[in-house]
Amino acid sequence: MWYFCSPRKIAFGEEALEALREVHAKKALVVTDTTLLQLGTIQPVLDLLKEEDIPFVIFSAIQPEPAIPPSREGAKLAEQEDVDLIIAVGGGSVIDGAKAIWVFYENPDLDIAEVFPEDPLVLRQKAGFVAIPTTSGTGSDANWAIVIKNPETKQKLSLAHRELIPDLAIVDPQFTKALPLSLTAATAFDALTHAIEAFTVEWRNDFSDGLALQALKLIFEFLPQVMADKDNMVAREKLHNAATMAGLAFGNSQIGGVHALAHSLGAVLSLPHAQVVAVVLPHMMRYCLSEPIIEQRYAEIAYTLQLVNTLDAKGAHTLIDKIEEFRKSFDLKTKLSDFGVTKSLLEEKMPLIIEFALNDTGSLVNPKELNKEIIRTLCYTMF
Amino acid sequence: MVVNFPSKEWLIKYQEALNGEAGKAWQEAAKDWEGDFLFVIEADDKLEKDLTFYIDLWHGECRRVEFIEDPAKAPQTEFQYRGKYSNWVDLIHGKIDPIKGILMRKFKLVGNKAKVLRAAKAAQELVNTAQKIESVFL
Ligand SMILES: NC(=O)c1ccc[n+]([C@@H]2O[C@H](COP(=O)([O-])OP(=O)(O)OC[C@H]3O[C@@H](n4cnc5c(N)ncnc54)[C@H](O)[C@@H]3O)[C@@H](O)[C@H]2O)c1
Ligand SMILES: [Fe+2]
Repeated sequence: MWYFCSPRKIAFGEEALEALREVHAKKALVVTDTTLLQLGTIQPVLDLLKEEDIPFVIFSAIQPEPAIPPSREGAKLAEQEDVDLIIAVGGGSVIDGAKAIWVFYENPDLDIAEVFPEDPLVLRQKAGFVAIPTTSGTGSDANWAIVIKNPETKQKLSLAHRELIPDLAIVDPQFTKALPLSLTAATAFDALTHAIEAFTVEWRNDFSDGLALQALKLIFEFLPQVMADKDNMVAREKLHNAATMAGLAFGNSQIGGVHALAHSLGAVLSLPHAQVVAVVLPHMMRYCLSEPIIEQRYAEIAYTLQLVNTLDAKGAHTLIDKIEEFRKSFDLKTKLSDFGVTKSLLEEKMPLIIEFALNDTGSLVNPKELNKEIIRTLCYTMF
Repeated sequence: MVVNFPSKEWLIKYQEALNGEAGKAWQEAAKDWEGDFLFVIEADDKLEKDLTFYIDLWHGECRRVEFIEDPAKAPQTEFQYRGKYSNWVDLIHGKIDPIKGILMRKFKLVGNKAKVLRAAKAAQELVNTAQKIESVFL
């Protein structure tokens, strides 16, 4: 027995923001970050709230790769202002930070690390939750996860609870119009990785398989089009849909070893999630390739994407080569040293990197078992 | 030597495995672990009555085990992991992992779950070590 869970409603495509008019609220907390505030990305949301006579307050202190303390501050503001709706407008960092605000607002004394899927979690007593992604990457708008840093242990916690799935996801491509190409490529690589891991980890299932394959088709077709013309809004729309579909896929299956290692490297070396995922992806795929079922699954992806004409092992290799080719053509980082990480720093931090990576749920469900030596070898290969 | 699961002999073999060569990966992963468990194997159509394993795990060592036939006599422990006999068999055969088991409602974990999640690798190695015991099932 397994479940498929998703937001009650996903509004997508041009003018999807209009769906926000259906939401009734006395007062809203709009959660974002300073960059998006300055760029004016959130303005259409504010305009609509004004038109609908919904008063709002803005909380913009969520930082990229969010940590717990700002979310506690956001919850205090929600309490002071007595809001009954939280609207997250931003990338995965903002959406995750806003989900944590929601948890603290409704459960002020909870240690967020204790959020666990099968335990009760009180939400929606005080506020509903709308997510409006501005990157085509994490899929946090449609799934049950929060990735948040605990500043005390420095670990990136991956928490999950079905109650944390937003009530409404608004997947409107207008919010990605100003997303720089470098971030477009990196966050799309995150989405691509979600789909590949959802399709291959131990918790894969029929529902997530379908979403993962379609998400991959969209990314392979439309990411190059966006990279060739950043104003191609038709292609941006498809990419945006793909990210949410990949989010639904891994939210109902799991992420795997790529994310386990990327979460760990990201937390220990302070590296941005999407970019470090792009570094790890082909290395972890090559490592998993010796599992016959995984070779088959990669081959199935390659065949579906029409990278090869026959469904055989060759496709698995073609897929990984193609991913590396993409990564290069979009100028993404390919090595840890590209981030300025030195060998001595890597060596010094290795025990912590190993500990965090192996204890991430992604490692537990990775299609091929990971251990200390493998993580170490992968890190040096990626250096 | 082949042993029956669940039995006192199996539990003793398990302790030996955890502390020996077969448990090397667990010892490493659990080097900071502190906390004792009750593994409750609940009766189903194959197992007549509930059986309980008491397992004291401390810094990569399995310090003590106890086979408890009367659940009323089970000591208070920091954690409890419980599920039906057939689910334990699936777990030991690697058909489900210890966390998926909880999400599928085949197992219940009582105790500080955040602490167990932070030691996910150790939990996985506890199962991997159990797989190395030559077992006969009911
Ligand atoms: N909850 C989940 O399911 C999940 C899944 C994967 C990753 N994550 C987490 O999400 C975070 C990363 O999120 P992300 O990759 O979306 O990036 P992000 O939210 O950290 O944003 C990166 C940068 O891009 C800027 N930005 C965002 N949208 C923009 C736009 N439209 N125009 C211009 N600039 C824009 C942001 O202000 C920020 O400076 C990490 O913490 C990661 O661990 C969560
Ligand atoms: Fe990700």
